[in-house]
Amino acid sequence: MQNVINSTRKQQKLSQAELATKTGVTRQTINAIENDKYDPSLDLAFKLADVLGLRVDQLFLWGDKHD
Amino acid sequence: MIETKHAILRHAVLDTVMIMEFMYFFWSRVIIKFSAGIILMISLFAFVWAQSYLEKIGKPAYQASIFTSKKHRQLITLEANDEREWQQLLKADYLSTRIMLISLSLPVVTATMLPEFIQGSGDFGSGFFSPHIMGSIVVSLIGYIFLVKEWGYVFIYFKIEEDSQRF
Repeated sequence: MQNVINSTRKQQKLSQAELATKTGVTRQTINAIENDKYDPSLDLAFKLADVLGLRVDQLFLWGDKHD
Repeated sequence: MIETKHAILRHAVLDTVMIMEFMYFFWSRVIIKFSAGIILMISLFAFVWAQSYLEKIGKPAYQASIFTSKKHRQLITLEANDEREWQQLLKADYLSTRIMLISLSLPVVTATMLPEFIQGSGDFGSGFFSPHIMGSIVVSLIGYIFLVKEWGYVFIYFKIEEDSQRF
């Protein structure tokens, strides 16, 4: 599942560690999500959307990179 | 936040020390009988100390008791900071259990072959393979299975974590 967390985070001048702290996960988890290595649970997806001020469907795009 | 990797490694080292001590205890019953009691006490002390030490490491959000009906029911010793680590721990636990089951073939083969070997070796075999030695061999094999499981778990978790951070 693709997402725009990396670009949105950079726009808001947030570091991975800061976003991790705000969402209650590790920096490594943010890194894994940004690089499509891990798909977060609904709970975490809503937290990320809330912190970044977007809707979940704006933050995550369903489908593989090749779609 | 828990240093998950360090916690897993610490856990594996402590378990290894405990298993080695128990194995040494059983072998020492054969070699030095009088020190067996002392070694057993040291082993039990190490076990209790290790358990209390592990509790001090912290109580992560995804830790759950097998005696409760929490959402994420799993082994008490699994520790994680968040859902991704939790999933990785479960994956590592699952895979290391598969490896452990495969490695069970060694003790099973040994248990099957040993009586035949003893019978075939005549008087020497029956004298050498006393009940104490047989017991020690069995305990060593059980210890070996636990060590395979424990270190398999460590290496698989480290590999999964490394892969998840590579891009």
